[in-house]
Amino acid sequence: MIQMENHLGTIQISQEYFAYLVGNAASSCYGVAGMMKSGARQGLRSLISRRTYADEGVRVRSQGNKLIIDLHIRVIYGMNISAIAKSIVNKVRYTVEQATGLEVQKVNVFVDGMKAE
Amino acid sequence: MIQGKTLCDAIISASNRLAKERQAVDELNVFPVPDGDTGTNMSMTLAAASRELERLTEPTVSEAADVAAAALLRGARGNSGVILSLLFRGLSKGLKGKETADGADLAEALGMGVEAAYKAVMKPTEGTMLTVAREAVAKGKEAAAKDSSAKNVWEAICKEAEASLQRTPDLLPVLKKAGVVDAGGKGLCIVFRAMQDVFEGGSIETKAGEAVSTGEISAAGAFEADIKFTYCTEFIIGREKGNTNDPLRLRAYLESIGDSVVLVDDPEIIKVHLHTNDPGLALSEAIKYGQFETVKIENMRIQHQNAAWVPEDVSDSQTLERSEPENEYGFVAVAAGEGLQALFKDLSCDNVVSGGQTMNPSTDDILNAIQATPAKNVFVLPNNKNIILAAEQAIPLADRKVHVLQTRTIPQGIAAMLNFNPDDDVQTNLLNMMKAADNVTTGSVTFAVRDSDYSGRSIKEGDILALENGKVIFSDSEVKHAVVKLTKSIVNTRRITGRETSFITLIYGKDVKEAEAEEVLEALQERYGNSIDITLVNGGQPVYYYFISVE
Repeated sequence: MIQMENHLGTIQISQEYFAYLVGNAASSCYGVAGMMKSGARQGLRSLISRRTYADEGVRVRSQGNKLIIDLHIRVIYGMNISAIAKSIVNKVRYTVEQATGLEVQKVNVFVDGMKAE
Repeated sequence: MIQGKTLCDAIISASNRLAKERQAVDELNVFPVPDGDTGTNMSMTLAAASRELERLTEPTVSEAADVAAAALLRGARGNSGVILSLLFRGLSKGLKGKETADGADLAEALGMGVEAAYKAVMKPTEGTMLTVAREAVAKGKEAAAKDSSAKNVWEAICKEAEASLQRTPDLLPVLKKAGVVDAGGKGLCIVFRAMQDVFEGGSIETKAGEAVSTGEISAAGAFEADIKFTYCTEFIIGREKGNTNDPLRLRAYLESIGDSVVLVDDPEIIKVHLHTNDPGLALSEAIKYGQFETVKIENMRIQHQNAAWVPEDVSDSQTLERSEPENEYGFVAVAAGEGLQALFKDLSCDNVVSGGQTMNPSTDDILNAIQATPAKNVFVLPNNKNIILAAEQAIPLADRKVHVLQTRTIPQGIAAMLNFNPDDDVQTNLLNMMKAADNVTTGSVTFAVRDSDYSGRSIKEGDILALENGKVIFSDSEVKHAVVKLTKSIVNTRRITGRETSFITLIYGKDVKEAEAEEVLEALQERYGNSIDITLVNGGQPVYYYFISVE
């Protein structure tokens, strides 16, 4: 849960909202061929239900009023990973800051897998 | 049939054409992040390929495409660069093993590239260069069925790419809102068109100077071939007693390794000047005649380019010469307008590069300024987000340590300079300066250059825009009113987020009269006079009526 306060009142944004927002932004980034499940919880969940969740491979934490985002992605063969990671970081940061006004401190991109052609 | 050499030339030509037009492409860039670097990214990606291709002699198409694809992969920058690299990887896969290619081969191969480019993303966004490439290839294949000459097919690809580009705003709302076509798509059209010109038998696009978009080859470029020896080498040898080596022999040796040899034989010293490609040889021979008193070696090619590429309006004010790193710290800032340049100089900035929004200086300009700064550690203040990249590229090229501060606006740059402490080490200074820069909120007031749509409100060309940290906050019809309203809004926002404001600096541009600026100052002093220090500075900057620095 992320809370903000201004002179008009309090704003609360749920963890879930963030995970979905970031998940959507990330999966539409160029170079993200897929998301990878991160952590035991998401792994278990996918065993129980076959559905794909939008927050797959996304972890959002907050430190103070700043966000730290972890992304676990899959790429295809033959890409310059440093270039796409850079642009993913930019795009996700931009989308989140645009949508919520919160500052993103870090976006960590983990390339966990590769999709063969 | 397309020969390997033709394909090489086509790609090199595309790279050169894009380098010239990259600014136009940059200006279109609003998606996925409006950071105005698509043209730069694409052009640098292609430049990587062009460098490799220039080394090839008599390649087959397969080899040419292979080399291009490998270089593009390594050199890819940004989304557009990655997509471009995938397109060319498809091309190299499709042309594998072929000596020459016809139109059908090219269309087929490019199709493989498009497929790969689509596979690389989970949710492809239509209305981008992906769409442009896909539709162009489809038309190309159709054309190949009728007439498979390369000229015909590639022309169909070009035409469709251009048509598809015009449709991008209908597919992607952010483009329509901003009133532009997709930047990556535009870049791709330029690339295709430049290649077609070569396929049709046209000449190769000439290389432009870094970031110079005039499209004309400079006199220096033509002259460069005339420089046979790169280094101008001068030194003075102090004669030692008992050294009987005859300077005439030195002269004879020097003439064998260079030209323009001048040797002055004096009872106490020998003074030598020559042009050579290996100054080391000259020096190791000369040491046999005595001790060096001074040595000076200069790269004439670089000097030449510098002389030629300095924009005209600065060339008369200063010529930058390399200077030895004597001091510990030095500064280079980028700013436009006499007032601002003088301001940075007053803040003990060693060199100020002329540039800013809509007139980005090239890496070369920045590098020259760095080299002319007599310091071991040079801090660079780009003061514009589009210049940060160019500044960072100067880091490996400079012969001294360069630190680029991520200052995005002029006020940030000023705040950073003010927080520099010569007694601290580099790291502490970098940290303190960035902290200070981050604490500044920058307001700027300018005018709209085209019709667009912002947050449901339409902005007409010529409207006054008020921006906070680069984002449009509101539009207005009158400058003075906009400045006051913007300042109030910034101070309020800062208060809500818990940041106190104690200084406001108004920097007015060359289109604002002093009396008008005074009026704005009075209006603000009336409101904040008791609690906030407000100062007025004549910046003389173009484009922006006002910069407002709030800290």
